Parts: sequence; structure tokens; C-alpha cells
Amino acid sequence: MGCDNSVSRDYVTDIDGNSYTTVTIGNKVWMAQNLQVTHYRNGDPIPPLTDNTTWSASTQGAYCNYNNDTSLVHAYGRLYNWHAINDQRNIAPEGWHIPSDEELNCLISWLEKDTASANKFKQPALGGYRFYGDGSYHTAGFNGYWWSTNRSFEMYNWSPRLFSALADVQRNKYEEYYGLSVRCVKDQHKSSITYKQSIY
Amino acid sequence: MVRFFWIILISLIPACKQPITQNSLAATIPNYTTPAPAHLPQPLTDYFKSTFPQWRVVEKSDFSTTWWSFYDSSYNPCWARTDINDDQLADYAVWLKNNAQYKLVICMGATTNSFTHYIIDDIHTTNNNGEHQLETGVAVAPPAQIDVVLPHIQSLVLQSNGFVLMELEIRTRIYYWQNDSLQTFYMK
Repeated sequence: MGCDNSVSRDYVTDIDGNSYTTVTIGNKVWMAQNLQVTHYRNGDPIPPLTDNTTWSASTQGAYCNYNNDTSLVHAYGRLYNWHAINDQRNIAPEGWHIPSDEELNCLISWLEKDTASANKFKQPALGGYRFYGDGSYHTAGFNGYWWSTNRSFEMYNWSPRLFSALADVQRNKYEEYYGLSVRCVKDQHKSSITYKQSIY
Repeated sequence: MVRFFWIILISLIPACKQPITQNSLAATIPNYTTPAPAHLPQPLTDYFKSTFPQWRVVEKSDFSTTWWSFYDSSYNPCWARTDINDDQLADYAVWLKNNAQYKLVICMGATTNSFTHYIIDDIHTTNNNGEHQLETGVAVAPPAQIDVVLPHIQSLVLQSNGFVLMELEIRTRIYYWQNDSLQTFYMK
């Protein structure tokens, strides 16, 4: 199935009770806000890691807040390392999942056709990232980075395009230590939600 | 082929590292994070008027036809905007012009009534044909590992955004922030 430009909006709630708006892009429903959950789907906590050295060496799933500042969570969501993304306890809300490369390619195609909607897709959540090497934080408010199943996809304040270049854990294992945002995609077989409010 | 427009000659003199701060008449700089504006914000244009009264921001028409043979007219090589020092405030790289002279200025946004600007003095423009037209543009360089072989084999792990200088289609410099100062990565 191809992508079209129909966009509608609804909500999804994570295990912590955080609600996120969603957008329908073609035949896929995406979160329109960055994830901020602190527990896996089974209720196990995702450890917060503020210490830079610990972050850069952790082989377990972890999250952090940009600049370790909780006041930024509402705007930017939280940043997660790839181990949290790859954990079988599942970071995504029930009925949702981390986007695959195929879903990412569909999103790229859609955004290239509709730059106005691309701008709406990336606002207000250009939450920056945490560097793998020293755990430092960068680019919040200007660049957004999100995990797919094995790499990242990026959007920049100055461009309507979507890129995919910063992190690729299949190419460089050390890039598992990047801290990136998360946007989940609704499972295809789950069709109980109806999308009532068209915004475009 | 003989080029009929004037060319940019670049020396190896290091970029100016001394910031120049001026308390200006400009209002407090707001956080211009979203969306990316199509024009320079008024506080910055006011700052230029007070700091460089003889100079103006270049326009697309200041670039040569050779430049526009490489780029679509929708592209803006006159100035670039991003945050290069991770303070979540917009910084700018702007080409200024005074008659036949050009200079590149990097302005660091601040939350007070001031800008800090750096005049990039490792770029020397020479009038080659009397047209006084630019063939070097500016753009944003996002975080990445950048490997180059000229002027020697080297890598830059650019952790935050930087400003890239493009001599026609060739990226020749990246200006970035590190250790509380503006740094230059040479790629030519």
C-alpha cells in the first residue's frame, strides 16, 4: 500500500498515563509527540541515567531528560538509548511499536510531498540528542532525532526534509549509546481506534 | 575556462577568535526556535545597523550566475541560522556587503540586550572581473562525523550544529563551537 496525504488526529496513552496526539500518514498512525514513558509495557522501570560516564557505558536500557532538566520533558519528551528500544519488555504502548525501515521510508516519501505537514509533524518536538561518547546534550529546539528499529531519523529546524544519517547501530555498535527521542507507530492489525478529527 | 566573475581567494590565516560584544539598542533576543524564519529577525538587523552602519546584508542578487548554476533559486546562501553552542538560542552566520567588500559575521544569540559577533577574517574576497559577485555561500552543518583528505587527512566529530562555508559546490570550512570559543575546521 502506498502513502497518501490524509492526516487525522487522535490520542494514545502509555503505561505511565501520558497521553500523546497522533497523526495518520497514509495507512500508518504515528505519535505526534515524543515518548516520555519511564516504564516498559510490563511495568518494569526504565532506569534514568544522569551521569555522563554511566550513560556512555550502559548496556541496559535507560532514559534521560535533555540536560537532565525535568522541566523540558513536557516540550521534548525523553531521550532513550538503543538498548531501551531493543528491550523485549517493549517501550512502546500496547498496540504500538518502534518504526521499521519500511515505515520510515513511507514517512520520508510523504514528507517530501507535503512540506507544510512536515513542519507540523516536527513541531514542537525537536528535542536534540545525547552524544554517545561523553553523554553531552546537543541541538534541542533546532534538531530532532528519533529511533527506528536499528537507526535514527532526523528533522532539522531549517529544513522540511527528513534525514537518516546520525545513528546506525548495525553499522556502528557504539551508536547504541546515543540518546534519541521516540515516536511510535500503531500496529497495523489494531483497527479499533477511529480517527474523527481531520486537521488538514 | 576563464571565469568572468570575481572569485573568492581563501588564505590560511586562522579565523578571528576574539569575540566582540556590544550592548546594542536591540531588544532582548527571543528564542527563535520554531519555525525557521524566512527573514532575519529585527533585533539582528538593528544590531547590524548600529554595529556595521556602512554595511548591508547581502541578497541573492549579490551571488554570481556561476553560483546559481549550481543551486536552485529557492536556496538562501546569504545567511544561515541555527544554534551552534547549545544554549537553545539562534545563532547566525551572515554575509555583509559594503560596496565591493564582503565579510562574514557570526552572531551568537544571547538572552540579554546584546549580541556577540565574530568577524571571520580567514576569508579574503578579490574582485576578479568587476562584477563584485559572491561565489561563496553559508549553510548549516548538522552533527556528523566529517572526514576529509584535504588539506590533510583529518576527522571532525561535530556534536552540535555548525556553519559551513561553500565555495560553489565545495564545502571548504566549518565554523563550530567548542571549549567556549569559535573553531574552524578546514576542508580545503
